[in-house]
Amino acid sequence: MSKEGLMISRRFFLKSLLATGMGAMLPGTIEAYQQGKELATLLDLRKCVGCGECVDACKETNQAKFPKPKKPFPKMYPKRVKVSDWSDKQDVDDRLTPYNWLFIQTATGTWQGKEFEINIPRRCLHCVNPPCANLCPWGACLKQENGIVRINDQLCMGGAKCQKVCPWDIPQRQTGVGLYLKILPSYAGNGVMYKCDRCYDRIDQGKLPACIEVCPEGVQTIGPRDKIIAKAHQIAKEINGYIYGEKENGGTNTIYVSPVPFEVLNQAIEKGPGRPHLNKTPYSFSLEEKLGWGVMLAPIAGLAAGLLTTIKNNQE
Amino acid sequence: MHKVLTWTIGLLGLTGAAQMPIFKRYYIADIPGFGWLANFYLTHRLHYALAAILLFIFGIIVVRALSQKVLAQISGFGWIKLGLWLGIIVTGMLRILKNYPQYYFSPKTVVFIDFAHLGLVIVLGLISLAGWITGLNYLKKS
Repeated sequence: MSKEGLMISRRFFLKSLLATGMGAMLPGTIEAYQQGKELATLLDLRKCVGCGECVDACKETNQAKFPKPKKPFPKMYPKRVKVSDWSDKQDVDDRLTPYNWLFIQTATGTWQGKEFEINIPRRCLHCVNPPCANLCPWGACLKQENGIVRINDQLCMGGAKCQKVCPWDIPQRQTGVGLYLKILPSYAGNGVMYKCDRCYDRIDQGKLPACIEVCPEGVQTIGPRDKIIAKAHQIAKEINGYIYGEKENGGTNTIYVSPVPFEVLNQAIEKGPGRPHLNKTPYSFSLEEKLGWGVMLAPIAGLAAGLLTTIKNNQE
Repeated sequence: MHKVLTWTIGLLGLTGAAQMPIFKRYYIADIPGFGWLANFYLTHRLHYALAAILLFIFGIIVVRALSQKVLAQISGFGWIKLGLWLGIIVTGMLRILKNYPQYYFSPKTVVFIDFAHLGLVIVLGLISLAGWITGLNYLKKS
């Protein structure tokens, strides 16, 4: 296999998944993986009991990737540059941090006369067209062919532009690590950004992402994007439910299904830094897509205009 | 058209620089009237629109240069600058294509294109400055 990240044989992948949990994987996932097609995850919120096993598994599995900052941090200029230090708060698990890439948001309330409590595992949604990857000035945030969006911590300068352009403000910064320390630490950069990378290294080894593998309730399923969306619609139809993540920001590879509307859930969850919303989210690159074609056609239009004016001048 | 071109190139440089998170950090966006420089989506869209204007003007210039047989009059310095412009335009267009979900670019390719686009702009800027100081021009001195 020559594609980046596809380092294992079909037989090994199948054997590994049989060992770890075929129930969490849709048919056709292996073929999609082999062909470098996008994989998506489905989260059936009816099943999540908020046990936090996924959160613990994520932390444990990704321990080696967590930042190990060197202190004291270099003094940064100007004074308004804020230090982002979570190294002494690594146990925080009720919001996203550089050391906590997945957390459970709980929404309680009343819907159609019935009380509800819905637990929602929140992390990066791995957008189909991720603005973080598109707009990173250095290419440090990247999208893999299999749909995983992740940050290269060797290249990231911690500018946090990815967080600002992300509709959900997902990436979180840790100061005191990364490339910026080797360049101009006081004047450029501020650390490295961290977020869910959908266990890309486990996927490469034929394993499931840790949060999917460990879930005792089978909340998450991974599979080819089209099949995951079909499954989401099937469940939503069965339960008269609602879907989030299919069309948000032009489409993501994290599809939630809930018996309660996401507008209602959004009102009920605690939102803020590190605690993303569940708003309807328009496609952030809609205008860019239109303008882009304008740029591609502009030189042709210019050549045509030049030709017409030259012919006209010659005739005169 | 020369004035339009100069302003377009200048604003392309400004909106291009605004893709890095520097204008808010260094208080430039705090200057009244310049807050928009910290809006990443706005500066990105302006950069696209300005690139379209630039390429439209370049299209006209190319036709005129060919019809007026200017090619033979271009200096060595001019060819270097034209080569840099071509590199900037090609890498810029590749960056636009990269932003469409249906076109996949490997992470290494993306990094290469990103740094090439920025690097070529910096080199063009330095060479243009050197040309302005030394009096070198696109055209051979007659």
